[in-house]
Amino acid sequence: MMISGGVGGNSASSSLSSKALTASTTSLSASGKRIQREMSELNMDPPPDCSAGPKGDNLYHWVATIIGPQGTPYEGGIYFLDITFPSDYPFKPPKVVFKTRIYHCNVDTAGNLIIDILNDSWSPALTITKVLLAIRSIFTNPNPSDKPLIPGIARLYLADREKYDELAAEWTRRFAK
Amino acid sequence: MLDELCKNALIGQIVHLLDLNSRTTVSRPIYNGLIGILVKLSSGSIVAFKALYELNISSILKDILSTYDLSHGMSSPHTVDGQCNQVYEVLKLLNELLPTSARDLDAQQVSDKEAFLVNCPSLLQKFGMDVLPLLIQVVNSGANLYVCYGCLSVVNKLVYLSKSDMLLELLKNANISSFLAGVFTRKDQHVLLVALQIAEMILQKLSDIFLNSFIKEGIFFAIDALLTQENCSQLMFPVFSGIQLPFESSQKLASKEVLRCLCYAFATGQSATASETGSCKLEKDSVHNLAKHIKTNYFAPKLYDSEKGVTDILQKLRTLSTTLSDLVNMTISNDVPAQPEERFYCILHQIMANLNGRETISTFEFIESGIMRSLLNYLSNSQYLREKCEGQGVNGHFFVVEKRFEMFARLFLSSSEPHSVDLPLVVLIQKLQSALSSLENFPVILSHGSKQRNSYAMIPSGRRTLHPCLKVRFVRGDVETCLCDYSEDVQTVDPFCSLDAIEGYLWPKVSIKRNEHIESSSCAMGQTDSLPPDLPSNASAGPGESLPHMEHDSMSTDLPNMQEDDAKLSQSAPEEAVTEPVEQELHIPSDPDTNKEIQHPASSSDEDASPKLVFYLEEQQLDRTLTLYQTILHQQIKENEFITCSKLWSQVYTLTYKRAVEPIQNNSQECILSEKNFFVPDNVRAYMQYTPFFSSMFACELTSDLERSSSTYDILFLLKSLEGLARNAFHLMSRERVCAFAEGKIDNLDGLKVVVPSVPQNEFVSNKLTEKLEQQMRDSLSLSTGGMPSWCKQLMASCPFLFSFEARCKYFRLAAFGQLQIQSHQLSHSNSGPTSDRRPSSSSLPRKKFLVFRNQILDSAAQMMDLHARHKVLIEVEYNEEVGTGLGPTLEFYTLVSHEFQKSGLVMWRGDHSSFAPRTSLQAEDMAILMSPSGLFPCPWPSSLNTSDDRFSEVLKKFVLLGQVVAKSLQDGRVLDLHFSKAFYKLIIGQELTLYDIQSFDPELGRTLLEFQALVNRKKFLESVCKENSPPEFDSCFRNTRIEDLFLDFTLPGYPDYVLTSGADHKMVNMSNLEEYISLVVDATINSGISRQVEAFKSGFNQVFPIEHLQIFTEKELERLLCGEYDSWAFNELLDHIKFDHGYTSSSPPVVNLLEIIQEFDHGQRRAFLQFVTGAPRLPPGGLASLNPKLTIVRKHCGNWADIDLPSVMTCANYLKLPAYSSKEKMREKLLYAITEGQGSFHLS
Repeated sequence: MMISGGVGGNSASSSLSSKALTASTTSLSASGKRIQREMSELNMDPPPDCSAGPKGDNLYHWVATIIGPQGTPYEGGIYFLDITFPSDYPFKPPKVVFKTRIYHCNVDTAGNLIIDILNDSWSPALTITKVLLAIRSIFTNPNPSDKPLIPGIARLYLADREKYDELAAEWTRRFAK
Repeated sequence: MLDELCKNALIGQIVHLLDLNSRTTVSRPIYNGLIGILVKLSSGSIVAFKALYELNISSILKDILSTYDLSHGMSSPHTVDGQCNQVYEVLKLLNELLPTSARDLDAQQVSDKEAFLVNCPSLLQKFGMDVLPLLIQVVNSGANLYVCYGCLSVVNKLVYLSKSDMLLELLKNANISSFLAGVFTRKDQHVLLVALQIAEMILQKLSDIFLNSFIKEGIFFAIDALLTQENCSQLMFPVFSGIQLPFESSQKLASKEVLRCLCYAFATGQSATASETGSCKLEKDSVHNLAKHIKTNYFAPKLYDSEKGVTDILQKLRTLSTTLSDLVNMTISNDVPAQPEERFYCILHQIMANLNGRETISTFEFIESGIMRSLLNYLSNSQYLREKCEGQGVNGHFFVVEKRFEMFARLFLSSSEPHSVDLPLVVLIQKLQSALSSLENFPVILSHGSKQRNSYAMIPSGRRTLHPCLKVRFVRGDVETCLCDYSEDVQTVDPFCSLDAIEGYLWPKVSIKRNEHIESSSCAMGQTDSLPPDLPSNASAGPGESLPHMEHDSMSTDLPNMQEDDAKLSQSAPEEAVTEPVEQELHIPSDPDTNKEIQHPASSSDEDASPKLVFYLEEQQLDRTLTLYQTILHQQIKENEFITCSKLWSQVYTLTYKRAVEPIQNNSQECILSEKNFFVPDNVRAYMQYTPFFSSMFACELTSDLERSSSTYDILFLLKSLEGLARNAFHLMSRERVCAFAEGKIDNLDGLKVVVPSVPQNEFVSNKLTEKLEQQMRDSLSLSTGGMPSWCKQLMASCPFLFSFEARCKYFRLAAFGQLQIQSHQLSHSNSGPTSDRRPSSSSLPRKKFLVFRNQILDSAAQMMDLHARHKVLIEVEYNEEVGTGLGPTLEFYTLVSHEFQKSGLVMWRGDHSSFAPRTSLQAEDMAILMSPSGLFPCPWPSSLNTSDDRFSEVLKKFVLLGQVVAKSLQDGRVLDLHFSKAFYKLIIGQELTLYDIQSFDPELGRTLLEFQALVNRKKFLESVCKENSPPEFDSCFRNTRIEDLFLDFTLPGYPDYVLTSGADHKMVNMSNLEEYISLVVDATINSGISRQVEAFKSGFNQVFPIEHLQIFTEKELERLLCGEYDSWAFNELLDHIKFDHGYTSSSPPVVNLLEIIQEFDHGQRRAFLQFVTGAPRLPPGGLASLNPKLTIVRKHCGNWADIDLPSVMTCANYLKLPAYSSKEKMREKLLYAITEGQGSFHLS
């Protein structure tokens, strides 16, 4: 399990600011209501291999886990993600960052990932469930051709799939189990 | 004798001195003198003549002509002491070098010379090849009459001397036909005669080749017109009836040369006696006769097949244009043909195909076809042709207009053929530009080197001026009983003072004294009260009848005049409302305070400020927006007298004053305004339906000087429309997509995305007009905009895009600050490159030092502005407990202030959620600089919030300060490192924003709102289609989600405290209230939520100078103006301003590579590079040259592994340490890596 110290520290510190938040929960903002609704949706019908929920009692800051799907080199790994909702959610996409290191051409060393629905193709019609599903799909189908964050891995993925699988599996063992 | 002189290598020496490449520096008068010697020698001596040809004089003269800043030369074509300028001398020499037997003097020598040339055709050909293209260029660039005539006579002789095959070679690339066609638009007989001679000669020698192109370019037409016109001096193309004053006439006769006829202008010494007499050699009917001769001899055979020598393409265009007009008229008269849209599309498409087609269309054909008029008619829904738009059915009308623009944009902004390089729109613009330059006739009026001398101006306030004053006698109007007589002696009046200022001086003197005054004013009131109801009836009953107290004849003739003015005023009211403050910016030199007073003349309701007197000059009422000088110029040109310098200043003008009968004007203006107001707040939905630009487009007039019927007016208006179209292309195309979605033509919301091809702003710049404006601004009298002819200001207000950015910068400084460095008299003529005008001529302003505390930048700035904002002083900064002062700290201060304004926690800008959003750990430190990729835009504050709210009033104060700082930095020529969004710049220049603008600063929100809107429109469309049928089967789903499921409530996205509306049915957003939600969000985002902040900004700005002066810029240009240059570094600039050291010289291969690489950088990369090397992303004003310390590049030693190492920098010393990479590619890769990574880390730290 690789929860970095930062995350734990954060949840502790966020309790301070959450006081203000709980005070105003009676009249939640539009984004708050929307997030709450997505939370209950997610709990009722969670997507496969995924779970997510607020970290502490800050509604805008979530932690999610995705379990590496079967049949991929990430199989069995548990990946932690930080999700931050902007205050004008759902007009702006949530920010998602990998907290667990992963060998993947669409995720850089700092954990930032690029998928289209979190950038240009974002629409308020999308929900966190759909975002998680989209992230899960890049485990099975990495996208090496469209502006990969780590071109080296993308090249390897295209050129030597076996080697790539091997490396990815090793990273999974080292960091995600 | 002369031959003897020439034998001793004299000519060789002179030629050597003249050669620009020999780099000998000779002062201007000597240089001209040398050319003069050559003129004399070659005219008198066959030896000199031959020697000059053999020394290849033509290429030297070509160099002189081309490097010479032509316009510069024209600013003083004939100086007082008779010294002729360079171009003039060169033309004389050229004339001399081409002898013709036309001149009867010394026939023997002439024929010798001619024989020489005939025997050496190669010399002549070389000569022609060198000179001809330049001469054509000179004439086309709008040279004055003298230069034009000189050029033409050279061309004439050249054509005369050349054999036909050689002539063909010469003219092959010169497009002589359109050149001649341009010349035929001039009016002077001499010029016309020479042009006819050239035409005849060409036809005589090469009739078969040039006949068709002569017809195509309209030469035939022009010649025909010469014949049909009874009065030959009035001739022009019949279609060109709108041309007003020839600009020659105003220019030509400003000095001694004036009295001489053009016949003698280029004749040398021998004819001196003849020229003294000044009689014109031209015979009366010579133009007519020659025209007739040409017509019967050359064009007659052509006339059999087509009645008027009209080309096919012209015929085709004419037909298309009439079809288009007919169709437009049909839709107007309600007799709507089936599917008008398709038919419009079809016709427009054909027009476009023709314009873009293989067969070229000459300027003449383009103008003559009437296509411009019918296009305007189409775009404006025939409003253009109507004299005045009545306010009826405005909404529906705007809808049609915008629809029309949409279709136009769809057609002209997409390149039909993939291989064609230019957009159809660009092609059309280019056609318009060439039409404009061949038609426009705005006069350049120069003071012709009138000496700067001190004179005393009694009016407006009795002080010395540096320019001459006008002599004016004031006379009371004949019937005035309410005013005193003021027939003192002649008064001297500052030529640039406005009528308001004159009135301010005169009013106390002429208004009847205190005790009587009440009576008189009540009498005046009585008058004015009775007037408004009277006037309409009066207009119908005939002037002078219904106003018993104005029985006098002169008054009754004046009355219609005034009404006309009123009508004009009300017509242009929407425009006027914007431009008025600019227009009032007429400087009464050197007293900023009184200046200020006059600058804000008043909304029309303000009783005090409304004019009390009306002035008449020779029975004409004067336009109050002009200065006295402009008015007089105007008058003089109208009378078609020659403006002679001395006469202008020595003449005594008689101004008649009368009491103003003003309230009528006020009323009409108010009524227009209220009408306008009625529509705007009517419903917020207007923001989505209409782009304000298009609704006002056809309601305004361009300039009062041009007649509406003239082709120039058409061109200008069409250009204005197209410019608006290009500027609003994104809006138009998005709207078109939304409509397509609503009608079901596209199914997917992703189809709403549009890619807008960009039309370079440069295409809209008219080189000729820019050149004219530059000339005008170089004139010694152009100390303020009041010293220029009125078209400058009018065009600048209505069509600023016609002028280049550089010219507008100069104009802006002139208009806003009345300061422009008059440095046009550079001695070295080879250095005519445009100089950057970013650096203000600040030397004239007083300096003020100001102490700044580094830890309280904003507070210091606020104190500074409190003290100095309202005064024209140059602020210099020094920091507390630091020694340095001057430019460096001052620049740094402005940079620091700009950074301070971008810190989060001020709650000024969008994206600054520190007040609303729950904080995440990253946002914990309050003072982080805001990251806004698309630029800063004010964040909305609820309009319900009272200004007394502490936080909000703090924000407003910040905006006032920001306005002050921005204005001051413009005034002082400082650079800000502020990244405003384009939309905010639009607000600064007074444009209204629309739904489509939101995407420019908040792409996600903007896009979603647009998609919502498309959804709403689709629902409406379906409802309208199946009204009777079953309720529409419309899955009101937004990307497979019901609107309700989006869980939106009626608060502004991102600002939960900003409640848009409250009410029972406004809890959650659903399909039925979605439209309202959109309107409210849009309104809050770009209007009601930010308007008070924007007003605050403007009020701060206005303390320094009126913000309206910025309206001549586009939002992009404004950014350039505020934030410095970062686009241009020329290669030689790089070499000049970069130091190479420690192992590098300017020729080391790595250095050469580096220079090439940074040359190839795009904008973002340059910024990154600068930030990497200097620490700041923008160069100081003046560019690299003013970087201090100089940018230095040194070698980084890293053994054999140079290719692995990265470049590094010492930012404080602007020091770049560069490894000697093995290849350019390697270097580029490493450099890019370093600067991009470097930037990343800068942002992180």
